[in-house]
Amino acid sequence: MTRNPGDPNTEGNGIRRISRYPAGLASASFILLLAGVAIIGPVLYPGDPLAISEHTLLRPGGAYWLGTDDLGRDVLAELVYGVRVSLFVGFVAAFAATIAGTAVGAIAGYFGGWFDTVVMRIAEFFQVMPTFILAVVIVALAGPGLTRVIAVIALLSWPQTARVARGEVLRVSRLDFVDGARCLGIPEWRILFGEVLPNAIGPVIALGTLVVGYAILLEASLSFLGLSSPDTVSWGRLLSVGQRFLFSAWWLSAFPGLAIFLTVLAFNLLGDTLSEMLNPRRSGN
Amino acid sequence: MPDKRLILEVDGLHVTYASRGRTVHALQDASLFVAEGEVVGLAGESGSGKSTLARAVLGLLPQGITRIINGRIVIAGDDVTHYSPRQWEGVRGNPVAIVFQDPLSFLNPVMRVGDQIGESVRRHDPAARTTARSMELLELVKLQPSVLRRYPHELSGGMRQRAMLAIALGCKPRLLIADEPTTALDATTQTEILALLRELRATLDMSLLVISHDLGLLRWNCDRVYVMYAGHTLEWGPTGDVLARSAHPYTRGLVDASRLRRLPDDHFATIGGDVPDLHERYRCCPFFSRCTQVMDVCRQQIPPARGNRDGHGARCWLLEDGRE
Repeated sequence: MTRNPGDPNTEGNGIRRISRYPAGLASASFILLLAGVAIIGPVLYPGDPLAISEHTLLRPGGAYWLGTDDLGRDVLAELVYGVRVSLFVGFVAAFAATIAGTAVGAIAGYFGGWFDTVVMRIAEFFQVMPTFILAVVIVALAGPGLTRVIAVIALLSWPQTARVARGEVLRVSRLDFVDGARCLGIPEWRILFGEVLPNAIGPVIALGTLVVGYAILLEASLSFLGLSSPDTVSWGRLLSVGQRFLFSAWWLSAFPGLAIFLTVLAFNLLGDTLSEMLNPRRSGN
Repeated sequence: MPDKRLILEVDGLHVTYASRGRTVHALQDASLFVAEGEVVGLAGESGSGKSTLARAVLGLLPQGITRIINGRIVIAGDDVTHYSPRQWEGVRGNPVAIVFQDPLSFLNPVMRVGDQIGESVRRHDPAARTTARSMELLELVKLQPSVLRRYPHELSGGMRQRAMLAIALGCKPRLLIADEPTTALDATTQTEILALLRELRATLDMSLLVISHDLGLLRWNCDRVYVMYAGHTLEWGPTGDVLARSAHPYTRGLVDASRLRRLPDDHFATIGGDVPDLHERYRCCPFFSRCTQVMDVCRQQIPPARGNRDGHGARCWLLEDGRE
């Protein structure tokens, strides 16, 4: 069902399989590059992102490749540090949302009953609310801070994951091998997490990748509005600084904007590729 | 067989499904028993209730839409008829395990065969060393040890059926139900699997309940057989007696249709009439509309069970006439 020999869509290991999707491969490479920058970037480009100098509003080129801002801070150094914040927020929020959403959705789908009804109504509540406005309201009430931003993003993202996980678990739990496992006397909760979930996880992982991109975008939006931590270097905060000089110093907005755009695009393309690769209905034939 | 302990006893089981607002009486009056060490066959055409009976014995009837109206199921001395889902977990695998017709869909596609065997071993024999025991089970079903590392889709049909068997045997069952164990296999593989089942039954000292529409298969492998029709067990007894001296006209029709006995004019025999309508509860013989020897009484009353000393019996009004 998940893999058929001779099927080019499912044959070979992960790297060989993803190499059949050029957009997915490019996105994965870009994300790996970003991760590399986040880890060793400050070593390769050892500028202090918060260091103020007398060289204010310098154009790109020369000693400062991407120019400086109104306080003379190096834009490239700020971008390099900003990768850390963006990826950290993106991955942690998406991870939390995926774990919570999967657990809730899987239990709701497998056991049904009142838990299913209650949880899915809550999920629907989150889905009909305009999430960005909700995020702004919650952060404004709770106060800014990176942890709070991550928590809010996770809180807003789990319902989508829960719905996908529930649907997949419903589909898989009707398959024969689940009865087969039951015939061995394996307890229900172990059937759910040991047999059903591994067969249902593909679309959830694909969605998780999309959630990373969504979380990065939401974090950038919140810091653009000044609702993230004021002392962290974040792409969204760079944008909000740049906005004041939009007509005099384009490079202050353009490079952070480009970084956000490319990163979110990469996660979206990777998510699409993964959902294509992991879709049981596609790989079944 | 009063001298032997019974591993399974089904007594007058009546099971209904709710289906599109109507009630389907899938089992109406099904009775059978399996003694320890015995191989019992259950024959019948599609829709006769064979598989419903197998699922009932494992507590796998679809929840919510199924009702057990009447009768009881006794497994190894315990009345399990109204067990809760949690209680059923203690029955499944050990003492009762099952292998299904289509091994591919009953194996988890994303787990290696070794992990699936290991799972059943750990569940039912926690003290055993999982790998060693898994190898032992593979040897028992005559598969190479390398199969442990394979995924189900990498195996042939016969190998999958053997892998399923190894998983089921990992539970150390006292009764193994084989639901159409060879229907999905080609003729050569069928013979091999049947030989394997026969051999295992002797070495492992367990009972077998073989469900099949193929009388030829049952004839060579079973001590006793039951013939089902429209949710009723119509005839039962030692295999040779039932097939050679069938008491019920339906069994005779089945035997003729399966060509175990050659007809004089070398024609294919069929049973006339339509398949039974299970939307109603029969208050008479369920076979009367297709029976060539139908009498008035057949349309009015349920025939009682009548049997001889060898345990060969049937539900048919013809037996009341003193004929057999």
